[in-house]
Parts: sequence; structure tokens; C-alpha cells
Amino acid sequence: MTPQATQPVLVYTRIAYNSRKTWLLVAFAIASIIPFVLAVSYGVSTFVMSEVGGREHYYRVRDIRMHKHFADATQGNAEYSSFSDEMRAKEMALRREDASELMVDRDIQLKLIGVVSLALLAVLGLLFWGISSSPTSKVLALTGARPADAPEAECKRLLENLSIGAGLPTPRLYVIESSSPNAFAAGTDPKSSVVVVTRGLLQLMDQRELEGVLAHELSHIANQDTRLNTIVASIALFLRLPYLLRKRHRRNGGSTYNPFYRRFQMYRLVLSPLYLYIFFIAPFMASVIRSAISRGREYLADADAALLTRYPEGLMRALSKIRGAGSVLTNANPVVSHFYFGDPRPASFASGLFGGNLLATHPPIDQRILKLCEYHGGVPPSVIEAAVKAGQQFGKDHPAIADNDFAPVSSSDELAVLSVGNPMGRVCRVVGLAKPAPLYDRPDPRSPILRRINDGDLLVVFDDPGKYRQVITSDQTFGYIPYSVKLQKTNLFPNEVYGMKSQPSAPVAAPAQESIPAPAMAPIVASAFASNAPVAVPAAEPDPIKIGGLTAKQLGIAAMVFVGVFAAMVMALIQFGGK
Amino acid sequence: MAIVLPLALLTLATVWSVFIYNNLVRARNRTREAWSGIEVQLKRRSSLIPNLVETVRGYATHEHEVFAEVAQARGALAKATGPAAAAAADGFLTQALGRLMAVAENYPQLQAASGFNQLQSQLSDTEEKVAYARQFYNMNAMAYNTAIQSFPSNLFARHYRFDPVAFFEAEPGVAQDVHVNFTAA
Repeated sequence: MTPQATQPVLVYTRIAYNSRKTWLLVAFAIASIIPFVLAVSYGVSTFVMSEVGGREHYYRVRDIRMHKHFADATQGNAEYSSFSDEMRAKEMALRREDASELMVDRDIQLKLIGVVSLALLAVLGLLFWGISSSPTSKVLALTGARPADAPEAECKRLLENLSIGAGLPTPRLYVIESSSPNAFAAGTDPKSSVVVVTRGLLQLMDQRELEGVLAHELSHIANQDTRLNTIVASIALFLRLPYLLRKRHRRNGGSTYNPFYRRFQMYRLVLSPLYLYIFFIAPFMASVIRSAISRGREYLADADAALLTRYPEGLMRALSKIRGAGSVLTNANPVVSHFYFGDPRPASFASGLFGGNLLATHPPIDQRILKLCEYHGGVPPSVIEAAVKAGQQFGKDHPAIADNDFAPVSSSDELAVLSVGNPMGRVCRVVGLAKPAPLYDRPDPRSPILRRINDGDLLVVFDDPGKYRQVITSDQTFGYIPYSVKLQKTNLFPNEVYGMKSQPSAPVAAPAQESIPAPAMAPIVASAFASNAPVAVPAAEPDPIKIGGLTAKQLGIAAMVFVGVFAAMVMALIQFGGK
Repeated sequence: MAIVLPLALLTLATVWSVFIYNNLVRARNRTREAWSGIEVQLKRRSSLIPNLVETVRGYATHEHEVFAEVAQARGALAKATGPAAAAAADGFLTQALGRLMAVAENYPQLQAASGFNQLQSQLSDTEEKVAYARQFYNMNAMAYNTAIQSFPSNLFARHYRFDPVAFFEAEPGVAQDVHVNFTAA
């Protein structure tokens, strides 16, 4: 591969083109929700109608056919003519009745479609919520990243300088202990974003190249790709949900216990194009769109990085080195794999029947280098080749084994993004406490009191539903506090709290966003949501922390929505059906 | 009915002009903010200089000229207001510091001192930061200048006195390596 200087393209033109393309794709993704919702709700309503409605109607139609047959057969016979007339009149009456009943059936089916569509949209909203709730700590937990320390001071310095150039607050730097060179950015807004690099990246890259990689990640933050990714990821997950649930169901041992599933198998033949669409075509389309958007954003971030460093060669060399060394990370979650600098997934994953291009979240590295050449006028091929060789040598010396011990095993499951919840916990500050509150050993007021919580203390809070809140104090004491203790969210991450001295003044350090309400109906739905979910506990945390799935607030609202939809369906059936 | 169309047009025009005006204000404030970013870094750089000068003076006692020049350039930078003047003063300071570093090269003990090395790396880091802040400022200044010079927002800009801002540009002489020039002389 030798990059050639093609027609020079202005970086600004490329950036504008990429933004337009992204928005077209996002519009397409949003538009593709509509047929999916309609298909699913049509399928469900057809199923329900075939189960509950129309049976009497069916018998009556059969009756009519028989009567008609009888009447036709006896028509020529004069002595039966009066009887025949009578039959015909009766038949007409029945037909009118059936027509009206058919109308009622259709009406019910339309209403069912409406109700199911609304429920599906509510599910989409929940998925969006589930993904967007504290995604940063989730992603950090899924990848097993640790905050950067003194050995990474130089990298921190480069990041700080680049942030000045990009006009962003300096993101926090995290490190993954993996020899595979890669990096990613996460965070919903620039203020609370993080940049994560692997140990291999720090070892392999020189200063200029590292600068290129960091600039690429900063551009993702500046372009708010993480926000875009949240939208795209939730739409994609929504469209892939039937497929993923089906896969999980299969994996967990078939369909013997699920009567609904067995019945559905029966209707599979009837609804087969619909079935194919819901379970195969739409999920596939969703991942194609997700990947296409991701690829576009990669080019955009490359262009922005070239503009920020004014030195595309550094980025080109970094890409070449990664090309040589490979950027595969074990346990890279497909939902977050498009955040990475290089594609973290093994090559065999992408190269299937449809070729690697459609499903790859990252463009081929050669393409990225060529695009960078377009702004730069090219570099000597020897430079690129030397970088590729250096990368290959590094790859040989540091084989990409499963050395990322900190990442939880289940993180390659797409649904893990929802079921993991927030295993790292959320950092909150205690406010409005008149006298010190007790920290209990167990969720029981009679259990031993480990210590007292003071006003202004920082606590790491977990999202588990229950009568008491599970917290870890800054001196790493695990315990339970009552819900009466008021908390304020902060922008800190749990790792930064441990070992920190508690500060007495509440509103100084971090602006409070909202207080966390107690969960209302959480436990009921919690079991429904989390029963299948593999429990993911970070290996580094020995504490007995259970993973609760969605937050208490989300579960409460989910429960309300489901109860509401169920009630509406029941009422619709009572009112219109079964006459 | 006849009144609806003009009314709608009028509303549209008002909303549009408010939008343009707010955009101009936003661009101007961003430019100011970016400028304050440069000032922060320049100040940081200035505050490193006394320490550096003292360290060098400890070893090179006779180079009064260079010390005076650095002090003068530093004073000029502190007084400079506006991008053009600050850029020029910054250029002079860079030149003077280059000479100071060249002097320092003649004293091996000074080179070996750990404090000096630390100061040197801090200085180069700050210079890098100034460069990035300059880039960010220039980008914002370009966006702002383009906004106030293009139609139709230039009508608003003229009426409300949105004046174009100067870029923070390195002096042509500064970009060259002053280091080598001095040792040759």
C-alpha cells in the first residue's frame, strides 16, 4: 500500500460533506423505525386477533356457506321454494351481521396496532434512557479502564495542550492495561468526557503520533459523536431487539417452557415475510446503518484531527502502526465498538457473507490514510512502510492475547449495555443533613453501624432497588444508608473519590443537577428485566455488589408504562371483543 | 386575509434578524473568550521567566545585556494590548529567550542543573500551549470576521459596530530559528 497524492481537498469541504452525510443517515435510521413498528404491531395484533376475536364470525360464515349451498341445491324444487326464500332472507341478515362484525374486528385490530405501536415507542424511549444514563461509567466499566497516573503524565500534557487548541475543557485520561494499541472517547457532553488509551498505544506511539490519536478522540468529543452515538445505538438496539432476544432465548435452551413462543412458531408460516423482516432484515439493516454512520464519523474525526494538529503525518503514521500491529481488543462491546480509534473487533467478525465493508464500524485503515493524503499532499511511502513495519514488530513482541483482565466477561453481549446498569456507581454528595446519618452494615436498622455520614461527604451510590441505598464511602467502607439522606449528583467518577478527604462545603466543587428519588415499583420489573441478564461484576471489585439493570427511576416508569399499556389492551378487548 | 401575509413576512423578518444579531454576538464573545485563553498562556509564560533568568544568572554572571533584553521584552508583553501588539511583543520575547538559551548553552554546569531542565521543559510546554491557544483564537477570529463581512449580516455589523478583529500572527522573523543566528554572530 503506497499512499499517493491525489487531488488536494480542503479539509473544510470534507468536514461539511461528512456532516451532511451523517444527518442523512440519521434521518434514514429514524425513518426506518416506522415500518418496523408497524410490522411488529401488525404481527402482534394479527396474533391476538386470531386468538381472541373472530371465532364466532368464522363459524357463522361456515353456517352461511352451508345454508347457501342448501338453498342453491333446493332452488329448482317448487315445493321447497318458500323454504328457500326464507333461507335466503335469513342468509342476507346473517351476512349483514357478519359484515358489521368484520368491521368491529378490523376496528379492534387497528386499535391494537395503535396500542402496540405506542408501547414499542415507549420501549425505544426506555432503551435510549438505558443507554444514555451515565454511559461514561458504563463504558469505562465495560472496558475495565483505570484513571491515568504519574507514568502517563506526558500523555496528559499532550491532551491538555490539544484541548486548548480545540477550545474544550481537558477530558480525563484513562488507561486500559492491554498491549493492543487503541483508544476511545466517551461522555455525553464535553465537560464530563473521558479519553481512554491502551497501554500498548502509549508504548508504540511517539509524541507526534500520540498527538494525532488524541486529536482524533478530541474531535469525537467536539463533534458530540457520543451523543449522536447514543441516538444511533438506541435505534439500532431497538431494531435489533427481537433478533437479540431470540438469540438469547435460543442460547438459554430453547422454547419448551414458553407457550407464547410455541404458538408463535405456528404463525411463523403465516407471517413468514413479516417474520423475516422483524427478526432478520430489520436487525441487519440496523447494524448496517449504525456502521455506516460510524464510518462517516471516523473520517470526520480524522479530518478534524488533521486540522487541529496541523500535522496529518503524525496521524498517518499512527494509523500505519496500528495497521501493522492490529487493534483487536478482547471483550469490546459491539454497542461501543464504534467509539474506538481502530476497529477493536477481530477481522473474522466483519468479513462474512456480505463482505467486511457493510458491517465494519471503521473504514479500512488504508482508506483513512489515503483520505488524509488528500489534505496533505502525501508523505513518502517509505515513512508509511517504516511505520507499518514498526507496528508489525510491536505486534509480534506483544501478541494480542486476552490480557484485558479488568473487563467483565459478558461485555461482548450487546444487551449488556442495558443489563450492566451502572456497576461503578455514581458519585453523589450528601446535602441538607442536620446531624450525622448512620451507615449500616446490612439493610436493616438493627445492624451494626459502621460509621457516620456527615453533610458534604462524597459517596459512591449504586442503583439497586431496595429499602436502603448501597454506598461506598471515600475511605472505601461499603454499607447501607436510608433513603431519607438527600443526595446530589456530581460530575466526579468513583475512582477519583476513593481516598479523597471529605469536603465540608456542599455546593463548591460540582454543580448539582438533580436529586435522586426513591424507586417506586422497581422490584417487580427488576426481576422481569434482569432475570436473563448475565450478572457482570468487574473483576477488580471484590465487594458483593449486585447489578440492578436500569435505574430505579427508569424501572418505575417502565412499570407504569407497561401497566398502562396492559390495562389499555384489556379494556379494548373487554369493550370491543367477545360479544 | 390580506393582512395575514404581510404580517407573517414581518414576523419572519424579525425572527430572522434577531437570529443574525445573536449569531454575531455569539461569534464575538467566542473570539473574546479565545483571546483570554491566549492571555492566560502568555501570562503563564511570563511568570516562568524571572525564575529562569535567576537560574541562568547564578551561573552566567556577566551576560547583563541578555538579561536586560529579556526583562524589557517581558515588560513590553505585559503592557501590550490587542492581538497585533501582543503578537509583536511575544515575538520579541521569543527572540530574547532564544538568546538567553543560547547563552545558557555555554555553561555546562547550568545545563546539568535539574531546576534548569525543568524550567526549560515547562517553557517549551507553555510555548506549545500558546501555539494551540493561538490556533483556537485565529479559528474563532476567522469565523467572526467572515460573519461580519458577509451579506446580509454585514448590515447589522455596521449598524451595531461589530468591528473586525486582528489575527494573532507570529512575526515572520520569529518563525525562523533565532537560536542558530545568534551563535553564529
